[in-house]
Amino acid sequence: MDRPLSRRGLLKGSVLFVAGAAVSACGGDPLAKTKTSPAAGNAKITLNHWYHEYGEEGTQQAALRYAADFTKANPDIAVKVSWIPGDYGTKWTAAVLTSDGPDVYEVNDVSPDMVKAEQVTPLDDVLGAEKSDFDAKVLAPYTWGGKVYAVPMVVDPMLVFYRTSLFQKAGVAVPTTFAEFAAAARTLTAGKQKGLFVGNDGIGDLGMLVPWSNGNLLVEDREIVYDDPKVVEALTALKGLHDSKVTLQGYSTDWWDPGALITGAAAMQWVGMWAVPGMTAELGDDFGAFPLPAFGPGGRQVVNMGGWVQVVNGKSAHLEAAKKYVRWLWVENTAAQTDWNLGYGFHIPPRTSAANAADKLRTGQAQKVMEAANTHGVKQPALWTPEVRQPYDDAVTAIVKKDADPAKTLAEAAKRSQDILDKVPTL
Amino acid sequence: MTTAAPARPRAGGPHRAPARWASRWPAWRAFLLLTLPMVAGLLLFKYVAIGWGLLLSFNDARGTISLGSWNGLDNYRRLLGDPAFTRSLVTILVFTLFIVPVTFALALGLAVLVNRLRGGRAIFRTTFFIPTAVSYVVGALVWKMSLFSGTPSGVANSLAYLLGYEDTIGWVATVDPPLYWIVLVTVRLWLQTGLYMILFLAGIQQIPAQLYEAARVDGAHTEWQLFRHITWPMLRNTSVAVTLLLIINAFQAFDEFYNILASNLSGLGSADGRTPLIYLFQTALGEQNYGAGSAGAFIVTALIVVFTLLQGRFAGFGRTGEEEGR
Repeated sequence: MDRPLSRRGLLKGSVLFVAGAAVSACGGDPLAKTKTSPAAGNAKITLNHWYHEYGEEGTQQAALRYAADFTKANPDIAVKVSWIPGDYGTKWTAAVLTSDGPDVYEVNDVSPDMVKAEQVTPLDDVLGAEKSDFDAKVLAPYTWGGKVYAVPMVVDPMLVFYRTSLFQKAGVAVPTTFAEFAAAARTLTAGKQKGLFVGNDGIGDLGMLVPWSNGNLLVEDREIVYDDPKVVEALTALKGLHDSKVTLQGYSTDWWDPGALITGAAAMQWVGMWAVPGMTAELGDDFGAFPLPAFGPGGRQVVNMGGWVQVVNGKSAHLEAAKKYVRWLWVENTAAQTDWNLGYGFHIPPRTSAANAADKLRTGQAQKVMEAANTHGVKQPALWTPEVRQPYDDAVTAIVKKDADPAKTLAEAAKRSQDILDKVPTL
Repeated sequence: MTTAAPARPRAGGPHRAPARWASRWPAWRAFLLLTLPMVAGLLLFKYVAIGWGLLLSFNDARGTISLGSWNGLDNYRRLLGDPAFTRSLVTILVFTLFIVPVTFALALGLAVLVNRLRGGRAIFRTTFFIPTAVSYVVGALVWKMSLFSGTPSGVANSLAYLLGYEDTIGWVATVDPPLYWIVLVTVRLWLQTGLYMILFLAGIQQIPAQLYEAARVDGAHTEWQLFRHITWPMLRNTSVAVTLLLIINAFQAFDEFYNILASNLSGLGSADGRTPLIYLFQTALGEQNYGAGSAGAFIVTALIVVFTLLQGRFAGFGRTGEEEGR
């Protein structure tokens, strides 16, 4: 029994160990929590469906439940749901390059490059007759060459939330112009409390939103239009806001988390409607919301309409099944859509009829946000891609934080953005 | 191992190989068995990937990594023509020129001091070395969210308050003056100095004590003289290796920049503190422009190679003592 381990034995053992480790390592991303719907016993086809990791409790179980329900209704199609934690953007971009990519996945934007590379496929037949029940404004950025490439799953309006009690204490009214907005931020800055939180860099999305509120969407179709006095005016005002040191910077959470507003580190915060349940739980009714005020006369109020959309991988081996699944889940199944948007967190169901029927959206702050979104919602233009906007974002930092000459800096950046935009394929 | 074993005579059989090869076969077999997986892995996952990347860098590869859409030097031209990329190269050059000598001096200084300790050497050595075991991500987040948080309760802001500065400072967000560099530089120093200190310490402990004795006999009285004429020259190989590693690490800076500066859901922070790797990360994985991403990787590689060769030329890495004497 006490035989010492022979050299050959050791070698064999280690080779087996290494082989075993290699085999088990090949079994897929150990981080991804993958589950196949339980009813998948005798299915002929298995669809891969990817979600990013939604923060709300219960969303993963809901996603699995929808998949199982679908398989119950369509016994020959099983759905494998993958819940992707961490940097979802880089993971799906890498996965769709291979043949093992997901059949159905979610994204924020659909670019012409994605269309050209067949990472997405037209979904007009999936939307079908219900297409008119989706907000045209929301569908527009996903439409290329007359074809719609995505089905919205979640609509997330973003606007300014504020603490009503702090407004009352300081005697501040809801601002109606950018100047009033900046003045409110100054008044509300006292001691350890800052007036406004828009992002840890102190600018956040305001670099884009303030020009929007002054009537310039920065890009119009295939033309860069931000080399414009209106944008100069907006950014100069933004610089004033930044220089007055009333914005919260370097907080432990970023703008998408209502933490700063809840703890009182900031009195106003740019955040999405998803934060409403968290704020209600912590603050009761001590909060309100308003769109980013119109910059001045001729401007417009702004609610930024974000959200996730479902796309079908054009290279999927089971294109028809994937389309059937997407139509079943995100178009026909309004119950699932309402559950997904309002059962766990707080988003607007993309189908107008479903949104209008939702009781949760017809009370309190939620109703006000809904109204603001319907009247003042702006959807980011489709061609404002990360690549196109980079020169602009750099220009904004230079102007707001480093005293660069606005007109000159914007003109240079616009030339660059236009160059990049010209290389985007036309569809 | 078995290399020295006498050749085992093989009776007949299909082996026609010369006797020497046959005698060495067991050794060869072991060698192949042990190194093949490693070499195969290296070839497959490194060199094939590098070669593919090189080819890809001459292709218009948007949203795909397959070759076929040859566009010559377009990707390289696009990158070098983009002020954001050239600025990122300048950023990383300045960062390298600063961080390499500072880390070097700190690590060497600590090593000399720790080496001179009479007692408690192990404690200090461990204390300085422990940060090396901390991941860059964890270090970056501690720096960003606790030490240099922009709230009044942040450690740096509390200190500033004690020193009479009442305004809260957004350390990471302030680019004029560039306070964010304080955050970036201190976290890297904290994380990497320990490792290089250990390398220097090992080097110092290799120096024979007789040399110091001989130097004292020859009239070197001060510590400085001993350091200058014994420790420093004897550490030359260590110094060169440390500099080399430091330069490569500095050029590849990504983790702490990414974790400290990236603040938007879309995009990766602003132009300030954007290193080439962050730029390329965005190009390749954010915008799916794999051609330009690969081209950028080769530009950065070329820079690293040039710097390494230059420092090798000046410091004389790999030169033998004999060559040195000439």
